[in-house]
Amino acid sequence: MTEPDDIQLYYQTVAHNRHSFEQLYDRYEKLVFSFAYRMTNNRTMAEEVTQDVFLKLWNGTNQYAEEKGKFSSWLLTVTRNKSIDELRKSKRHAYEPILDKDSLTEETVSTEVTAEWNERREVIRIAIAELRAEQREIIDLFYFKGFSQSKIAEHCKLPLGTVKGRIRLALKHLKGIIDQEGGVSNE
Amino acid sequence: MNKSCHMLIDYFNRTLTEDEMRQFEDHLIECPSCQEELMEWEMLTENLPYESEAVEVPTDLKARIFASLPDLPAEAEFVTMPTKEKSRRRMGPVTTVLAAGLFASLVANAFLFSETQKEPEIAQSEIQLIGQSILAPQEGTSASAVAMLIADGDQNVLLLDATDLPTLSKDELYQVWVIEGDQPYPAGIVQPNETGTGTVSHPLTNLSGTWDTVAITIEKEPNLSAPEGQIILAGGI
Repeated sequence: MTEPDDIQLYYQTVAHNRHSFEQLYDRYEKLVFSFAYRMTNNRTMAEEVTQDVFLKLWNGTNQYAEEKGKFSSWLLTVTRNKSIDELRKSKRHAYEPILDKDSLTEETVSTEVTAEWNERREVIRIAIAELRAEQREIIDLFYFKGFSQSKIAEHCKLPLGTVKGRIRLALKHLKGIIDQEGGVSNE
Repeated sequence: MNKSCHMLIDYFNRTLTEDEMRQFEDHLIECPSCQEELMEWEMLTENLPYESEAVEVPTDLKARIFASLPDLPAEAEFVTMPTKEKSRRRMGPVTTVLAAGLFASLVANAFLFSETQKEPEIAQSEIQLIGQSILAPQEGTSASAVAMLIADGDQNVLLLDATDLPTLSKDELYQVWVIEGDQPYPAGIVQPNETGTGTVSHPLTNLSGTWDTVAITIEKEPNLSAPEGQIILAGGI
């Protein structure tokens, strides 16, 4: 029998099937935790985010619908939103990153999700490296740090009205390079 | 573009106040341009989480999360008959009442079907509950359903009781499915009454017994080879 897909596991999870929830958890624990850590730069916050994301999944608090796109994309959006909320709540939302790189550990991956993740990461990193420094910075401030438009404008010394255009340009440029690399599939 | 359209980035990044969030969400419903733009931002950023470096997850995080799962409502004894190997799911009081009603109905039917009423115990003892599940409603509906798998002698029967089903158009019907692995099988049509309540009893004769999901969809035709319409309810069993 083939492995149940994410959507099947999700529906079983919201019906409180622990076995399905555990399969979904095992599939995405590392990706969710690592992304939460990437967003917060803090292990405790990443743990809190991971816990909250999965508990809300179990409780059906955040409802996924197939028209929202891939389950994994939705789960990562929920993770990002929670990470931003935690950052803001803790009032640690300063620009200066809290470097905690010692705790980063590369691990051998075995599951399908982490294998796909490694493949994507390589392509994305190559693409990001091709961006100009100011484009890299604006993506970091916007996406990973979740700064407001005005804060980005202030930090990058840009008129407020041009911030959105700059972010969009940087993201489109990045997507163009990624598509050109051809290694990232969203199917 | 109006004033609210400029809030999209800050909405995306959750930097708005609660009032502003609500204000923008009201605006979003009425602004196709912002809806389209929001989808564009989501599409442009969907690869970015995968840029994250793999970080070692605390070894006890999973145990802590699973330990903190809220308990389901206290288990109520449903039937005292022996069950087959599949594990029972714990049921809440409401489900218990619904399930007990379904089960009582089946037992009553078995009793009535027996040609002689001298041996009702035999008919009852052959009926066993194998598993049950509350089907989860999909977004936008308040429908609910309880599905039960019953062994009636050598035959497995799916019993399903649905309530609050939305009213259908004239050419639509509610199709029940059981899903075995990736393979769906049609398992009866629910014909709700005017209050949106309907029940199905469907023998599962062609399945190997390893199926684990029950769902209800809205279809244009009965008994298709695979669901084509919108899922209304789904759950594991």
